[in-house]
Amino acid sequence: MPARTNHSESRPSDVELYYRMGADPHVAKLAFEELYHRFGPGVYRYCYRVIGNQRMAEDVFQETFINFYESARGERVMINVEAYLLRIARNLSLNAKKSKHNDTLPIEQFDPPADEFSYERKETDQLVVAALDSLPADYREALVLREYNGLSYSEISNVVGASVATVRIRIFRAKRKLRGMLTPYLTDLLDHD
Amino acid sequence: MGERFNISPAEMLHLYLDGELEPFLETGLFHSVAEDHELRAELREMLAVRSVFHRDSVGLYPPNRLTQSLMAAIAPETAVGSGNARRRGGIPLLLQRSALPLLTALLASLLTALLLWPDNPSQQYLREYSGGGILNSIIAHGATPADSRNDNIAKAIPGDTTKTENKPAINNISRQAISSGNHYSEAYRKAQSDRPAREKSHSTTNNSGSADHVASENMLTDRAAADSVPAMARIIPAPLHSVARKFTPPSFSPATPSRSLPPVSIVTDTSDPTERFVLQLRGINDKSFPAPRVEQGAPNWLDDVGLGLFYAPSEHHRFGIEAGRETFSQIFGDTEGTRRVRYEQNPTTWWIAAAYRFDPGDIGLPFGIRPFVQASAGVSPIGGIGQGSIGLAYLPERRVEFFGGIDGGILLYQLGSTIYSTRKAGWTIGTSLKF
Repeated sequence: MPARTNHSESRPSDVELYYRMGADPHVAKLAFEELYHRFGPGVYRYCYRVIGNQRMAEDVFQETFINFYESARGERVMINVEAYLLRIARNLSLNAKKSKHNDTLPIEQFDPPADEFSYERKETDQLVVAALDSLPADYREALVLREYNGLSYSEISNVVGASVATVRIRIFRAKRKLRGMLTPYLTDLLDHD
Repeated sequence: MGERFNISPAEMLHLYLDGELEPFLETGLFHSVAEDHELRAELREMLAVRSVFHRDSVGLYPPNRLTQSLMAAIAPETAVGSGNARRRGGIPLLLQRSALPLLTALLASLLTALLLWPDNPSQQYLREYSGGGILNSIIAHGATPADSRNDNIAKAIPGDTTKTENKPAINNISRQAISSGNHYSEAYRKAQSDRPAREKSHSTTNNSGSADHVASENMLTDRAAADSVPAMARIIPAPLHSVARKFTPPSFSPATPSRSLPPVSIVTDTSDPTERFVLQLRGINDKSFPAPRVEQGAPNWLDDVGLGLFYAPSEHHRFGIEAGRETFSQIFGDTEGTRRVRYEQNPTTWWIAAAYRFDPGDIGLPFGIRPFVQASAGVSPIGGIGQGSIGLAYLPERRVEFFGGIDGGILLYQLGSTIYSTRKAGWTIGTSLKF
């Protein structure tokens, strides 16, 4: 898979920046800052939405970039920096969640807050995000990578280590489950949009 | 992708929304959507859900503190040859970022101590060159420098066998300075005319009393003789506290700085331009030292509280104005005749100050706790005031901060030609809100 972010000729590519991180410390730091600027928000969104716990997500996020920085001192062949970062984040997330059982709520137990003012957009948004959090981990991860990180199915398959067909099915089922949970509230959402 | 030929219209719809549908299948999907009401409803709903995801995604951004912490961990000066990046930061980072402010504070403290510490040669120098202060007056009238204001009061007290009973009378320049602006001088002069007899009486009856006590009683006797002398706060004994509380401190105009400070260049952090102002409320539990021996006036619920409004050009720097109300114990000595007396009062006063706060950011302490140092300089109705505090702050949320630390302050006030100071130290706790 080709690198996603080869922005322009005047701007170093992600891969170039990655290799610069293995050079002089000051150059390495500048390269790291640029890569952090490019991919930090996406990795943070992934950690935050996949883990669902802010403190744990921040720990994983920080650990991800530290591991990423240290990895540049090895002899690694880099093809796609973003996918590599997300793979690190994914592995760390899985490790972090080992101690956190029942991280998903069974769909039948999904009970959105009964709020008479939930017609407001903000609260409807929270409802949708709560439904996302209640999805099974595999489905949620695939959907987050698609909707929050904007990855293609192929790129998602690269990150999660599954086939494109599997990714496609996960995303489809995730959306169907979301729709099933949100049907009573989607009318309000449509009214606001 | 042969399997895609067998997918349902609903799945085709989702593929299309994700940009994954093969182009040659799009026409079939459009026909299905046009004919199927349920499919159109699903399309609308999924677009709405997607817009929610988009809004949520835009709001999710790594907090500044997380970025700062990460960059500190990746700092090149610690990264080279180090095997464990996550342990970088901590005390070395704090020292690195705080070196300049701490050095400035240290130099300022040393300078202040040199100038204002009692018995300091610099202070004597100031007195001598401040227009003829108390020290000059004493020397000019025959007293030796050893008898000057900071000697034991008892040396000048009649009745003490070791003291200077036969010293010539010393002028009352300082006394007049204290009493200027009211009727004290005239009344006191009247009282002075009766002094010899009373002093003689004291010299025979009060040999065992403490120096302060004797001085105070002499003063009281003088005041009693002069009916129109206003009540004035002074030293022990305790029964006199009610008198002390009635005393109104003389007002002084704070000195105006002769020139402004040079402009300070601050690198502005533009990563979060939305919240640049900080409202800060803190409690100040400082105690004067030496500790006051007279009570303060009626307490007010605003006592020992500081309210500040700051502008934060970056995450590390804040500039603003802080105002508060505190009690400052004032102790100043004087020479009356051959005796040295000491006045004491404990007034509560307002102050307003320009404040600067430095925060080195997240240095790797647990729970994101970060140190800070704050300094301020301003005025009060009594005189100039300077304050400083250093402590730790905890941010449960990026806009809210709880902090606590140690606090110190100094009040400078002029009496006659002499500059006095009152020092305070203690702790402070408070909270701030960014907006």
